[in-house]
Amino acid sequence: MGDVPEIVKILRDEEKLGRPHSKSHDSYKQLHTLEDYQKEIEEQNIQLKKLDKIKSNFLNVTSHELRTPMSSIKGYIQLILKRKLGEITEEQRKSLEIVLKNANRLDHLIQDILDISRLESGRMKFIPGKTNVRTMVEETAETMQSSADVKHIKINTDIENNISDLTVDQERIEQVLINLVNNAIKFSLDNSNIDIKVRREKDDILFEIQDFGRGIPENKKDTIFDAFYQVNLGEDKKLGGVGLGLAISRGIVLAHGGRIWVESILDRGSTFAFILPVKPVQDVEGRFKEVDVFGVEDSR
Amino acid sequence: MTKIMVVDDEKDLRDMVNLIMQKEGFEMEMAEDGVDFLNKIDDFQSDLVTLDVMMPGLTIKEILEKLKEKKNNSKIILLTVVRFSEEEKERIFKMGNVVDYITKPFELDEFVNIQYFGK
Repeated sequence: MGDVPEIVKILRDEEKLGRPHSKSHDSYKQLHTLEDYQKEIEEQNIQLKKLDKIKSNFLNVTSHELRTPMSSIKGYIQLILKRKLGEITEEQRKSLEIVLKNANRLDHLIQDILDISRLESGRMKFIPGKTNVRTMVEETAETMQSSADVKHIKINTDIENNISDLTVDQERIEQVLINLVNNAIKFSLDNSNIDIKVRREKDDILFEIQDFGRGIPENKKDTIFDAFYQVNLGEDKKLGGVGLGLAISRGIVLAHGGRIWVESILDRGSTFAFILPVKPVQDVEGRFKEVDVFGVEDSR
Repeated sequence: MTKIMVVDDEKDLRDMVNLIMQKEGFEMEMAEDGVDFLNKIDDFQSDLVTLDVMMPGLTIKEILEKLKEKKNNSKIILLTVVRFSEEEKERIFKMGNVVDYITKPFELDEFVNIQYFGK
């Protein structure tokens, strides 16, 4: 965290550099020759590069400092729960399981906040590789089934035969699938179904995750992909999450040259869909810098 | 008995890994940074080292280079909070005797079940 004073120093320097702009345009012009302007731009460039580096270091350091303690917290709880440190009572076991559940929740939140920060600053790291779509989808569905079991929900998969492989960052696309299925579970009624369908659509692969839950009002379909947005604040908060999953998913899909959207009928259910191009995107990280996660451009 | 050295500046994590692996029957030693590690490695002669990639002082590259100079053949498992790309993996794995990496925070089972911890 040793970079923090430097951030303050640079921000102060930026202030100093920005000061002449508060004067009237004419007097400012008179005071500066072309060389002065050039020098000023060069200095600002240096400062911007410094800021960029600090931002990057800040993310790395924050990531390390926030996530490292989670290993100790979760590790010790698991050690006790596995009775490696001796017998525990039933009451102690239940209490520790609550601690572990909340540690996991906090860990996911930290991860989401770091992801959204990386997204916002165009620093999310992508590791593209050849990905078997069928295996990825079936394994994700299988993993998520245990969460769905709590509400007696059945996750079905319907994947087109001979579906093409994709060149994507598999871990990130799995993250999108998990986010969408997780949302579907949250907003589904007990004893219902969630259908995951995958098929080829011209040059793309189309993924659809359909639930039969409460649906999304027409006027909120465009905003649900914005960071920290929740359709029904009180109720959504009770169901868990802070409204980052869809924003992160959108960022990941856009970075891969795809598109994500939702179709929904109120009280009947929603289908979240995204497409990914079969032809791999060359500059995944570069595209990512274009993503407006906070919906700032839309609200201008 | 397999000998493992845990190198991490985070004392709580170091202690935890030490405790887990002792319970699993390994002979353990701990170091708090690269310098401490390089001072202890000659005496301890570990089979395996878990090495945090983000510690104060020496960089991973420097640590691995010095280890090479010592002609030490311990297998290295890196602990990191970031994922490595294929190119990065190749580059890092070439630097020394790095055989694997684990991302933090890790699950207990994930850690204990690493194939290189063959007892």
